[in-house]
Amino acid sequence: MLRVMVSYPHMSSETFTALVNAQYAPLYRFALSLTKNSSEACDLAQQTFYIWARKGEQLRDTNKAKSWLFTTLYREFLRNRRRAGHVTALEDLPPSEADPAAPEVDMVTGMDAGLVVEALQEVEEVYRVPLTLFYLEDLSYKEIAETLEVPIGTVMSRLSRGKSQLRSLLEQKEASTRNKVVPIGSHLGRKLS
Amino acid sequence: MTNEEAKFILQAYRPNGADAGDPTFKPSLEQARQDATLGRWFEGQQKFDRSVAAKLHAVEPPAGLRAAILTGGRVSLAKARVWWQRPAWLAMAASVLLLLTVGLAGVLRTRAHQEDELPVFATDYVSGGFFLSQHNANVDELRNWLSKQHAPLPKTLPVGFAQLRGLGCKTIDYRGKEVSLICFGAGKEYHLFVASRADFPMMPASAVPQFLVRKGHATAAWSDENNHYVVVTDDSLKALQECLGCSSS
Repeated sequence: MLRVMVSYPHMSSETFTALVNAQYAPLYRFALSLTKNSSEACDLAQQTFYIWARKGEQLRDTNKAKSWLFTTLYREFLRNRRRAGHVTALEDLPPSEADPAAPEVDMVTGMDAGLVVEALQEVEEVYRVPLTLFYLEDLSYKEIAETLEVPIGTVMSRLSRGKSQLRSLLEQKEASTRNKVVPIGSHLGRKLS
Repeated sequence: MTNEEAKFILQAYRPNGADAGDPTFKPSLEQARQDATLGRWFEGQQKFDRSVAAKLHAVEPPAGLRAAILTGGRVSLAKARVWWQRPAWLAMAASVLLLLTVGLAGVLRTRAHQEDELPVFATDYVSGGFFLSQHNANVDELRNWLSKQHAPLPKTLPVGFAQLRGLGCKTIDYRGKEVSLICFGAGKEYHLFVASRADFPMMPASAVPQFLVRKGHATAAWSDENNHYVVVTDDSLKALQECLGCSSS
């Protein structure tokens, strides 16, 4: 839950700069995961810091600034989307999936970063949001639960299902990439024979 | 605790070790140390999570985003901080009443100047391209949608707009206030921005349209008792003047 309080001493330009330096990149990555669009992600990140500049000084506990920013960005995203008329029932979850198999670690390590992020963006939004926050590693599962205003158990459940979906998508992408590649050696071998 | 329960908890353990001090994970971590099968699963899970996290961290924000945030934020900070919170005031309070008056006048002038920028903002917004929230040729439908958003709405429009069909609409955040954008088209496009006068009391109000050509767009700005209006079009200035009933011919 967001804790907006009073009595926080006024924020200097230096404090604001330090906060931007530390958080603008993770916030942009989170926004990109939500919007799947770079320019919209930039707008969302800017909008979040704009709100911080106006209201953030009311936050008493500066350690909560990071959570506050992520919470605000997520709320702004939902608010913008409601205005755009695209309402998704976040609790309308599909049936639960089986326990995931062991992940293909080597496969992910060797994949292009863009392809991995693309797969992450294809995970259903209800799972993608907590999963992205988890992989950004800035917030604990408890803070993710506060940010999304859902119970801790729901976050854990969504992380589990999200990872399962991500793994399937990564496997699909890896297979698709593999099929498009012609091994140079075998190609030469055919020509020479 | 079964291994399945331990897995459910451990998959929320961040790969950078930031959760090492969280007591929620301790029993599950201990179980993973004792149980080889669970230990192998956890090791694989952490490697997978580390790999995905590394790929996500490799995404770089566009150049210029940081500078844009800092610039916008500093402007907002300057506006948000009220005069009595400034430490300098405490030191000078006894002797600078006159300067304070001048300073306040400066602030008001600055605010008025900023609010005067709606036509500039509007042409930049149109030039930059944008998406509409609603697409509908029926202007009444657009009006209904904006009404539901509690966005500012015109009671009447210049007669020339009757010749234009609706394209769509949206709401925009301008200096922290909601502004309506209604788009019309009939070959050329006309984008009407509507801002409530109550939201922008310092914005100059003129019942007579003021025209401007900027970035290849003809623009007109005027006000009525409730709202400020700006129209931006890719049509000619003459056509815009005719649309607003201001043609000299």
